[in-house]
Amino acid sequence: MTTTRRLQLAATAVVAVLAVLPFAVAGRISLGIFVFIGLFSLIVIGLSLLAGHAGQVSLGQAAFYGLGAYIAAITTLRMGLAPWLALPLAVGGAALAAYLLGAPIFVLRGHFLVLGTLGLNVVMDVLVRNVQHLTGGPTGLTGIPPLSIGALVIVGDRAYYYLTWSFVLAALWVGRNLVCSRVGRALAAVRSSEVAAAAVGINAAFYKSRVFALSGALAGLAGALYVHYLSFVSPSPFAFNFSIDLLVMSVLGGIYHLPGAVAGAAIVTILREALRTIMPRVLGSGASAEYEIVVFGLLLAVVVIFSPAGVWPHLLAWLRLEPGRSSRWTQAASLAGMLPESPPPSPRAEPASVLRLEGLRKQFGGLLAVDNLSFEVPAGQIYAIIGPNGAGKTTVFNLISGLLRPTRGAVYLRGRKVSDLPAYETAALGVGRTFQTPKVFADLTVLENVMVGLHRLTTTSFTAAMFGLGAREDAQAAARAAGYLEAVGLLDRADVLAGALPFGALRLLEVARALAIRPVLLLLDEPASGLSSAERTEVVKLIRHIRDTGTTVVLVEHDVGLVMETADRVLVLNYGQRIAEGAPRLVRNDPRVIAAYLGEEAAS
Amino acid sequence: MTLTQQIAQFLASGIINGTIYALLGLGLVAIHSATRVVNVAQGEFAALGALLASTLVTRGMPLSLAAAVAVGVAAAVGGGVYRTAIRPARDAGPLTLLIITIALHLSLKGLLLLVWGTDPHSLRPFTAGPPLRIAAAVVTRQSLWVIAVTTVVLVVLYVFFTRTILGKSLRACAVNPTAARLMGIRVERMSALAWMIAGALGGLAGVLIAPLTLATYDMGLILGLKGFVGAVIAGMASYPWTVAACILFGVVESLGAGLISSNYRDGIAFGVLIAALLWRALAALRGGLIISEEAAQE
Repeated sequence: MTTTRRLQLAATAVVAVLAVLPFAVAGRISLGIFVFIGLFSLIVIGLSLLAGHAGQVSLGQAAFYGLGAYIAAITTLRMGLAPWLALPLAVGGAALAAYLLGAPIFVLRGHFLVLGTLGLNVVMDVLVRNVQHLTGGPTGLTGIPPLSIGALVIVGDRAYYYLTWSFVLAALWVGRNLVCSRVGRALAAVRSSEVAAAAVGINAAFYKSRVFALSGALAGLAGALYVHYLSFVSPSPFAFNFSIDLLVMSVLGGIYHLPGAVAGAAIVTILREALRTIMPRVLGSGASAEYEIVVFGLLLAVVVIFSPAGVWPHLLAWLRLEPGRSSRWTQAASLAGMLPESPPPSPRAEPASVLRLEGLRKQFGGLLAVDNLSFEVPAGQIYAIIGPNGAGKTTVFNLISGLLRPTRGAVYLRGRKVSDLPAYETAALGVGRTFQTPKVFADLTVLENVMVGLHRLTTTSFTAAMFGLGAREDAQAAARAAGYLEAVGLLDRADVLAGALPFGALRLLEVARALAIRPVLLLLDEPASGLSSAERTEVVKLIRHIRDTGTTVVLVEHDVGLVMETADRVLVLNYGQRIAEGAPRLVRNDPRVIAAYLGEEAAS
Repeated sequence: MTLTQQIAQFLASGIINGTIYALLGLGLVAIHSATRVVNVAQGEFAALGALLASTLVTRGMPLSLAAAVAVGVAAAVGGGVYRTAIRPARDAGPLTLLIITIALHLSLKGLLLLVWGTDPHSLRPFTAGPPLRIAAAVVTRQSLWVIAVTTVVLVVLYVFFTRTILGKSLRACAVNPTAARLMGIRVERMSALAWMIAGALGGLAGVLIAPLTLATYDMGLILGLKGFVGAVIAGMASYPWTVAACILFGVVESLGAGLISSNYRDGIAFGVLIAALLWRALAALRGGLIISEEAAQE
């Protein structure tokens, strides 16, 4: 039996167990604990998507849970709204709050979300306790109506059990769709290298804030279900400690696997019930709730240090259910060549120069890396920038591709000023680039890396991806990506993880990925360094081919031989200043160039 | 009390609180710049310092010695935490390190709970005597100690970072660890030093504040977070601006709590934190996308 088949069987078995569980436990244990595991699973699925796939930690999920709960409670109780209308309001309110908090924080990069969300917990708690006329203060609100649709009133453990777990399964389905989509690949790219992701046109903050909004929505949903289930709400379940519990659930289950969220929620909830019976016996009553958090703290430390991927992978291994390496795209890739290769960007309508730099200057503190640099790159040429180490070549690339802002001066792409655009916008306008040290997305396959390059040429939105609506476009993207792999000679390794490629292949993969954005201008940062002589010959051929298909190439290279062989024009930089420019032959004999490379004596 | 007197009073207590936050904020900046870790457990150093000092004094140790021991132990704990929990995972990525500091926060808090229990502990003021009157505000003698000691510490830190090879090495590691390593600086040792400094500053904050409030095992989180507010406003990078921002934040918090309602005190504090994050984000947007550290390292 194949692993896939066994996974399907296991999933069916789990659903079947969930379906009969209320009957199996009837009369023995309260179903309530399973309702809570379901509610917590919903929140933790969101948190795991955020941590495992968007690379951000939130310590504010309890606040969104509380927000959903209070929105549902207040709108139904104080404003007389029908509960089935309050539910989407609670979900939307929590999602909006998350989005409004997340969108600006993600612009900062780094890990500031954890602080912002921590603060949110405190603000939420203070508000709920003090705006008493709405929230009922510390004592809370009672008599919240149950969910009902028309005459159908949803009450009791069993009804909420089925309702909650239906939502859990739906959330797992949505999460899985998202992870396997264009958006999921973009998130994986951002996690691997935000800079390389920006270089293919991905706006990291855009996707992170949407994932965070989704996690807020799931927490809000859990909160609303909670109040309609219990018909009572008070501030204490939504405090900071619960945010910690949720993080423990998420990390323990495994942030990289969505079903791990359910496992984590179940383990922690059951463990806490057990602690509540054991702790008072061991320690006497009193601070047992406080000791609980100590146990969770140690548990978190142990898991994150010894098994950062949580228990889920171990569980799968134990059940012999590890999925094999996905080759989902191979079939799609076999279609390569069947699609007509899209024509190169029309060279006819081109202005004479593709790229123009005007008085560009970049200062890092006291270091002047680029000094009053102006040059133009004619369309359809290979333009090489050479110069000694530290001449400012890579800085020029970073300025052109939008990773750095110039201190003064401007960069124009086909007459349009691009130096005030963020890197992902510059990429979307057709500036592709590679990096001196290749930055591939190590945990995506070779083919998926190139599919990420197609990001701005594909359109599946975040919402469409959630509902699995991008499959057709994905297949087309895979086929097109395979075409680019074929062009660089990597098609036979399409299903290999990019992190496992040898160095030379990494350079080629980067070129394929950059070509996938259909650049009008391709910036190659030392494309031949570290390559064997056979690989170098291939790269020279490839660069010429790229030019001949209509893309203008700018390359930075130390291999002067390669530059003389391929370049149509050469610019020589030294200390951030232009010292010569022209045809390779002329530049080679320029005394200033010889002086810069070999010293004044050799020049005279 | 007239409104002017009230405001003077709020200003004074805001400055004093802000000074305490500054000690925590400086520790956070030291750790963040040397090891790129956002240390959620920073406040626990303060709780440790406060509890330890109060117990030692209760057991009969002279206050100055108890304070020194408490600060020293907090520094040692800072270094120890780095060696045992942070360094082994330093290649695991920022997300893992962040979760580790959250786990550290919980574990250290738990340890404090096991040793000291839930009861608050008190520490006598450094000098006895009635409060002093400064302008329109009434200020306790301990408050003056807070300001005096912190000022001395700031001067010492300034000299350390600008005049000593060790301090300059530490700054070099913060700017570019790879280049620092190539210059023969032991980055590992500097990271441990940063954590020790953060531990010592946190412990000192605890010792200074214990006579003003009370020492409890769970006092750390809120204190540490308030240090964060100032550090974030100052961009998690500049020591002097962190101090300025923390003091300003202390004043805003105190005025807000005093003039609106003390129930909202922490709400105001973290409202300011969120506002500070948004403000920094807007500044970052205006300044354009900054090349990230991964690229700057090359």
